[in-house]
Amino acid sequence: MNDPIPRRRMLGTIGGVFAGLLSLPLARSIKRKFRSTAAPSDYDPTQHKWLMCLDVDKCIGCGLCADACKTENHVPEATHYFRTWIERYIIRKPASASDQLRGEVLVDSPNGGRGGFPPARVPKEDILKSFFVPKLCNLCEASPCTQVCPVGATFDAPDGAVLVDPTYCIGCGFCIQACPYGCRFLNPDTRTAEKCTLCYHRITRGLKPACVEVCPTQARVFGDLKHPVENDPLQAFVMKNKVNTLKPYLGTKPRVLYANLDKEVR
Amino acid sequence: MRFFNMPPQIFRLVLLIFAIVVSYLVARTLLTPDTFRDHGFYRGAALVELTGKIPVLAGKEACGARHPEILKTLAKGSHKSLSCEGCHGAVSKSHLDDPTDKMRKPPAGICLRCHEANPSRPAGFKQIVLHDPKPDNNHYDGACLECHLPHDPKEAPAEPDQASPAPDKTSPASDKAPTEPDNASPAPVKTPSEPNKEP
Repeated sequence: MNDPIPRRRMLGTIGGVFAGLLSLPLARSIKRKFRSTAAPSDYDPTQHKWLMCLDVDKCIGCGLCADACKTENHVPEATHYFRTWIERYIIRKPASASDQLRGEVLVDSPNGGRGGFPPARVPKEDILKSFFVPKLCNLCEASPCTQVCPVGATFDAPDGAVLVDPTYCIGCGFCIQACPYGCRFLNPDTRTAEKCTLCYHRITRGLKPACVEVCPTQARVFGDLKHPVENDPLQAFVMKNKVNTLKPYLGTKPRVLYANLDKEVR
Repeated sequence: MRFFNMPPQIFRLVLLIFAIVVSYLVARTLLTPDTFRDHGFYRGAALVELTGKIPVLAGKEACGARHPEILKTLAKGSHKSLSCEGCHGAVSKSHLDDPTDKMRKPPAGICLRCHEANPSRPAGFKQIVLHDPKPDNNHYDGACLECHLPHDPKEAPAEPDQASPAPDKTSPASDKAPTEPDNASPAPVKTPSEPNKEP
């Protein structure tokens, strides 16, 4: 063996190169420490805690919220992409000879309730009761969707919103399967997961979310828990109503509260 | 070349492990976004990026800045909780730039979207049965505006042949409008008149 480079110098060079590379992460971590973390806007997510509550008894099923949401967030037009939508529950009267209190439960949401609801398929005499339920992200405290994200692209923001980072989402769809409320979808244009952001670009500017803005009956109540206003609508909502969450048995700890929720609502 | 009396084969092994660890650290540093773990296991910059989208709906307060008289009419009637953009559509940029470019007239049948009789609606909500067989029922399809002012539904629109301008009589009935809790929190609006122009 007649090496042009002596073995000792070769090893020394390799060691030196790696030592040099080692200093790179150190330098970057130091840089990060002193990097200014202040966001360009004056919005501080740690100083807010947003929440929306819904009153089932006030919803008239006009669908303006679903319409406004699509307009505001440029949600694809097709009938199965929604960030918020309305479901119609129709509970039939029990069959005359049965020992049941209530009959079959029919749920529909034609085009998410956009444009209102067509007449029920059941004759009025057969309906025991019927109501509309507006749906959106339930803002879970133990959100299953963020737990399954393999790339850290979806997360619980410090201000209570559950958001998707579109530049890091790889479109694997795990979160869409994980959400027990069906609140997520894969945007066919961007190929990333999308969901209700509580209109994050609006609330950070002091505007109300689009659905709250257009709701004619104030079935949707929105506010900031860390900055309660005088006669705070959220506090009044919890005080006046008996509230419940959707699917509490799943342990997802939804923060969105529903008033006058029927047991059949899923 | 011996370190701590290490046999050469062990030293090479140590060097190899060291190289693997260093390359992992280098790769992780280069691939991890700058703001990762600012708040948690995600990119903190995403929060800022998501705030950057431009709002489409201007909001009721923004409309009130230019049309205070309409909002005053709205506030005294039973439609006080309605938003302008629910019926008129989102405020377009062309309307903001040029006020003569009118907002859309609410489409025909928009009243029925809320007020058509539907067994799923709350019982106390005002509803109209279309094509009511009762002959004395004056409500019929598409002609709501003949008897109701949409901004104050208890008021009738002015007759076109009436000589007196704008009958501004508030009937006692309109005072008895159902008092709903006004949940609209007075949120501060940065640029009330031109939210679409924000960067």
